[in-house]
Amino acid sequence: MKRFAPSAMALVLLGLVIANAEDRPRITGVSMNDTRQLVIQAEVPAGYRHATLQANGAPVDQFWETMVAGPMTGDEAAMLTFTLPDPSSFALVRVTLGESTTIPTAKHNDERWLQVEYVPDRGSGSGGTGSGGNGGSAGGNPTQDPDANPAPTSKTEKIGHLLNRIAYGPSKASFEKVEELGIEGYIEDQLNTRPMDTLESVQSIKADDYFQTFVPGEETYFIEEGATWTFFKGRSEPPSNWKDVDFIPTFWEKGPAGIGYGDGDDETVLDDMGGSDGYLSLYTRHTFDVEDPANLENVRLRISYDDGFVAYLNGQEFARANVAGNPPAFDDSAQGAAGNVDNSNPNEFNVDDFRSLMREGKNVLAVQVHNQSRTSSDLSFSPAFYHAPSPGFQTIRGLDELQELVHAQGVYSDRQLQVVLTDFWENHFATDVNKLEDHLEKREAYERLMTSDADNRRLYAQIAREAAQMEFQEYTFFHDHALGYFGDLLLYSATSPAMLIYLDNVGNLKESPNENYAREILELYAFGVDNRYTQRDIEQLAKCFTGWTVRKVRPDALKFFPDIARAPYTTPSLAIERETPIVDLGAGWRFIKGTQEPSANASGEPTTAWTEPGFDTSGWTEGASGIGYGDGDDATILDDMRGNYLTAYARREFVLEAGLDYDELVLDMAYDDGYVAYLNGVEIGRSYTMRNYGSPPAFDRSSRNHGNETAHDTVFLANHLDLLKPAPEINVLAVQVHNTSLNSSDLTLGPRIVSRTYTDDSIDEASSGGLWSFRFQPEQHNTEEKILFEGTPHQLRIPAERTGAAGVNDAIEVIDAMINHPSTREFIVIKLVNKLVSDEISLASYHDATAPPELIALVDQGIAAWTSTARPGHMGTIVRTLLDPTDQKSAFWSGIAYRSKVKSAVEYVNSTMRALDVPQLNDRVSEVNEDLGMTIFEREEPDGFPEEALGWMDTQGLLERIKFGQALTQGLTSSGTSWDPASFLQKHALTTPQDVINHFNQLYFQSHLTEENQAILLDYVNTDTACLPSLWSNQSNAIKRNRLRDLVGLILASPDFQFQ
Amino acid sequence: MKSSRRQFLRRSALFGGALGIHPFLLNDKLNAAEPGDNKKLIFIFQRGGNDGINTVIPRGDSEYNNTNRRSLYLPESDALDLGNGFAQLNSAMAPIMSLYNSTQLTGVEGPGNLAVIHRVGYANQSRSHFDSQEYWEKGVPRDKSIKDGMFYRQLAETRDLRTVENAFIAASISGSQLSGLRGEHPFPNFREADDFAFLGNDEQKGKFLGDLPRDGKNGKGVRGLYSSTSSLANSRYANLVKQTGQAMTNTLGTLKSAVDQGPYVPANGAVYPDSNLGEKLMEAAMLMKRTPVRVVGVNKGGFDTHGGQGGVNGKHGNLLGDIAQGFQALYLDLQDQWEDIIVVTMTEFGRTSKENGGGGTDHAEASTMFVGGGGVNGGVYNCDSTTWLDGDMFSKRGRYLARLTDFRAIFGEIFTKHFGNEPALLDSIMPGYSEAADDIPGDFRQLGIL
Repeated sequence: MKRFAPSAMALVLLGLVIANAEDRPRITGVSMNDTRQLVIQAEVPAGYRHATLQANGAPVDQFWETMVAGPMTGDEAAMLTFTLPDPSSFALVRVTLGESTTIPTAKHNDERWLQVEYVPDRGSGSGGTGSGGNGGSAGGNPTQDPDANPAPTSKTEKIGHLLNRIAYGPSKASFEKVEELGIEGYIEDQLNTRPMDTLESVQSIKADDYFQTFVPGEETYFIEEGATWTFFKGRSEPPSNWKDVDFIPTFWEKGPAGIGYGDGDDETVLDDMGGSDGYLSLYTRHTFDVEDPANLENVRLRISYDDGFVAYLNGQEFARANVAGNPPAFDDSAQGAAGNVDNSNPNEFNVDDFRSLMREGKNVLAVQVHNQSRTSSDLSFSPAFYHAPSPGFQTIRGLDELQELVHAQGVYSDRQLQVVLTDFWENHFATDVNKLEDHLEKREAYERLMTSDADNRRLYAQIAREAAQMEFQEYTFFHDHALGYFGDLLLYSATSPAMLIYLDNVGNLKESPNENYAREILELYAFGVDNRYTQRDIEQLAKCFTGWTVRKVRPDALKFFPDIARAPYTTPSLAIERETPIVDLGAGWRFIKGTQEPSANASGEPTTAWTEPGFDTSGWTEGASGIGYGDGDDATILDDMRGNYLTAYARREFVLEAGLDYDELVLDMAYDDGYVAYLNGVEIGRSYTMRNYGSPPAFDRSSRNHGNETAHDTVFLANHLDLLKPAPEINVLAVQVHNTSLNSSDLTLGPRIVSRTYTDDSIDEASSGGLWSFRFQPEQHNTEEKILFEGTPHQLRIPAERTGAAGVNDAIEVIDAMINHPSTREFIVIKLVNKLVSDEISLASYHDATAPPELIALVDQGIAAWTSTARPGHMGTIVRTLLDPTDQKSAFWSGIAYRSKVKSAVEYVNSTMRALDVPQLNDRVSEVNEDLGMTIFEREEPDGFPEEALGWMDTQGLLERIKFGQALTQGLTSSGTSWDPASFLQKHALTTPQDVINHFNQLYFQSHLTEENQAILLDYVNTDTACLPSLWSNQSNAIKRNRLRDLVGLILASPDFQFQ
Repeated sequence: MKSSRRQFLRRSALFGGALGIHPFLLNDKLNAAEPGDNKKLIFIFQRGGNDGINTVIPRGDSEYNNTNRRSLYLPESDALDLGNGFAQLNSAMAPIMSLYNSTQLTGVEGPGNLAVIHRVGYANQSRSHFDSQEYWEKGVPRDKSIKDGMFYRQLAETRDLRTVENAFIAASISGSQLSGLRGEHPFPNFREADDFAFLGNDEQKGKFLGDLPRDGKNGKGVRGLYSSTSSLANSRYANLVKQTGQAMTNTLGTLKSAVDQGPYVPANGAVYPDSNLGEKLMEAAMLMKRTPVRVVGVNKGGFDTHGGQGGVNGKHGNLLGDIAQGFQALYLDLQDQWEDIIVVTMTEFGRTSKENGGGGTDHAEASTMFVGGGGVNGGVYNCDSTTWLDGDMFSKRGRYLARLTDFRAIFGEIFTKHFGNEPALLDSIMPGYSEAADDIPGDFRQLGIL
């Protein structure tokens, strides 16, 4: 293939450098040699595979003649020396660079006319930092400069520094832990990790606060959602046996759940609850029968409640939330608002341990519900009681809980290094939960169900949970592999449903590739921007990723990493395994054109009489299915439809042979644009395009448009077993099909009845009982040959014709190869150094050697560690190298690192909570993140939040930090915590202002706080609110305590506390 | 000069923004010695790379069709004529036509105070969001050693930023400071003026804020801590943190006195869009009227439309509509100082001329800019039959629209003609400007928008 694409050029006018037109190449010298030949020198960046010298005559015109051309590896920057033997007839000369390995035809292409000298690559080579000087001497002591920032030297300084970087700041306890283990011992201890599923062992983290259980498969209900309950308004105590089976609630009221008021989603509204004769509690009961209590499994209570409740099974308490008392009295209030446990976000209680309370025959579930106060504006109660065939799986409750969990781990986990790096990876591979929600809302499986406000509320809540769960899945993997192999992290991220959706690989199709992810995996996740890749590589890689998408999977069938990435599902969420037709396409149907109602009643209104067995169809026509027109694939064509009628009615009788498994019977509907289907006279399904259009819809009712005509509907006849008649009886399937308008150019009706089984992992995509997963679609994969990093030592040729499931390997091979590419190790090691050591080095300043030499040396050590393991890129090994636990002489322990990094918002918040020994977080943490500008899981741009000081130090950011510190020390819940200053001061035996200052100065600033700043702090507590002198020791205890709180707030506001 | 400024503010307040009053005339005379001193600028950064081709539609290019843009093609019915027989505006931007036509002020149909500029970019275009945004805001492509922003340098070159008077000369309405306004002396950034305060009642806030050191005595409170000598004096970012703290405490006062003037009511019935951008722009207008601010920056995200870009009523149309309504509201609201104002959009790159498989577009090169303001020569630039040949949509690498104008040429005009800088100063504001202009004179041809 002939390809010549000069993408960069520089221009010389007979010896005079006049242009550096596209910034590169940079012409550095032009001269004549002894033999009157023109010699042109140019510096060129890496990434180009050939160079030419072109000349233009006098007068200058469009025509450039290629005088000299030659190859380059493209892997490294180079210095070019062109020699032009016959310059006299030219006015202009220019240098061009190209990305192709095909060398353009030139007048002179002998290598003596183009000499290439490669500039050594620091990343893969040895020595040569290019800056001359003390590059490699990280272990040595840099010359002491009186203005240089001091290195940590005392043990206290070293411990403080270590905890500021590999932990979210020192707490008293962690400081003592390092003293106990020693610095080396502590680092080695921290290099061990712990999986996410042992979360409950972490102090102050209660799994129930963050997770809920979903049970896939068929649940069997004792009491369904929306069942009718008997209830008693708690104006007085009910009889003491109110919760027993044999209690007869004679004067109690009845109503369907949810019961409550105030939030607009209740079936039974208690609008007298808040009035003068109001009440604080509600007593409810519901009886149910159990056949075989010994064989029950996985008994669960799913309940929405606002604000608290106690539930009893046959008189024994078995679940409660947010209310005290044994039992609570009728006028006891709940202990705080339940917040988000409303009807769209119920709580699941696993009450399997109480199964023994069940008895054969009649049982009763009794619940007392309590409001927070008489003036509370809402109460709600909506339970369901059921058992399920499997124990279910845990998902995160929602985004707020996930954000809270991240902070809870950051503050409380004793695996601090692991958590710091978890957050690092989460941010490195950041995805935006909002884009996931947007995507799910637009998937047909959900969109088609959104036909009423109630449906929408329920679906939006489900979508929000699923999007948060995708983020949680990523977070869990990054947590468990935080110190593992970069290759696993990169491959996981590439195949994670959150990333697939976030950077549009879900829309990366064979005929029209989407470059978004291909670009960012190179720029942001592996190589670093413009680091030895080209636009052509992005285009080639985008083709490798064609066919990547997502699906939903039954949780019990979910594959684990790496299988889920390397041998992914290739089928959709709901995939047919085997199918036997019972009524197939081509079968004979009786049909009639919808020029009028087929069975109008006396007043002319539509009825379903025509769908019933025995209806007289003598006036109808016989024809084979599919029936329709306009798309050329129908057996029976209604070519007079346009302009004349909008609908058609069709019936088919069928017999179910003995031996069929009715559970596998499915009505498979191809349709355009809308239908309603009936079995033996009863509606069993209709398209979403016909929702709310009457039962039955009239013959002249136009349908909404069915956007994707290849999408069939599936109606499970197993849900209508009561309608099915066994052989020899005859069943009738009847369908009315509607067009969008009289002018529509097509209509399709293709119903089939089949006996069908689905693959084990199949699940209806709209079901709330599944998990999102990677899926590879072979039919959407581009099977051309792809060449990556062409002309470099890392060139990768992906062969053509990888068809079927093997197509996934195109991109996986590239991802695997990235681990061995020098760009990846440079970029990732530099980013780790930015996180743990100093932000004073970047890819650019590493490459041009303008970064501080000790940091360049540290990066080189990290890169060496990258390749030191059998499988390269082991993060634990690299982090150990950077931290240098044994000798403590790496740049991590130098003045360039010590107290020189500005905290990010999350680092500020977590370090504050650790400094103050905050015992517990509250659900306002996510608001704190928003105020401080670090909405983790919600960053719109894929570059993640900055690791550099400049990204965090601005007026709004600083003000919000200070306000957060104020709220925290004043004990306001808006700080996301429930901190009690009094107990903190007591715990650390801090009684005077100087005690408080000393405590923080030692723990946080390693006693570096200046006299002047200590004086300013002391002055603050000896001043009243009018700013007049007012000695602290002379004040009342209350004022003393308030001033101490403010003092802590001021310490948190100080410049010193912004550093780590 | 300071007193004349106060007089000006007082006059503006007295006349309450009534239409037809042009206090700037008077003001210009007062400030004759310092041209450009009252000149102001609001920049809106469209983050993500705006699809210029569906913003200002090159109807005259036969490649603009529903083969190349399967779902994104906008028919004539979704576009507004811009009067040159070639370019059309996405009809989602209808509100901005009140600037383009300007009949309200002049009574004349036709290009008013809006320059619609196509094919803006820079040589050796980066298709990385993050790099290219930085290059635009710093006014220097392809040089990562530049740390401060182009607007920062415009102000630093023309004013003494160490003085308290200039502490609030520029601001961004943003949770984090925009790169264009970053520099050694931090300018303020904030989300909402009336929320920019410490916790507590006025007394508590006052005590917490404290005071600067004076008469050899220590300072007090937060002010004292941020003006004292820190133990971190030799740490890399000590100065940054200290100066940011000082900028923050100054800003607390400026914003309080602005907010204390009462709820802000836009003039002339201006209606800001009901959006985050609308809130920010209204805040910008409030600052223009109540504070000494001259340059305000805001962000508008969401332009990275790789998937589901949509048409006039879709994602992209909504983004554009928001911008257009914002321009219209500023135009009405700031009539009292319209001659001093420039509102300008920026975006890091345009998008591929051909639609991708997800109903979106990928990163490309040149895109569009809008420049509005009392002194702007309205009209369409770089999108007519003389500047745009048939097929130019694919004029770069067969994939992209090639640029005709470097963005620095546009800002060069703004800095010289609007702010009155000497042309020689451009090399300080946008380092490398004249070298680049000499290299590629075509890219730096002055369009004459001012």
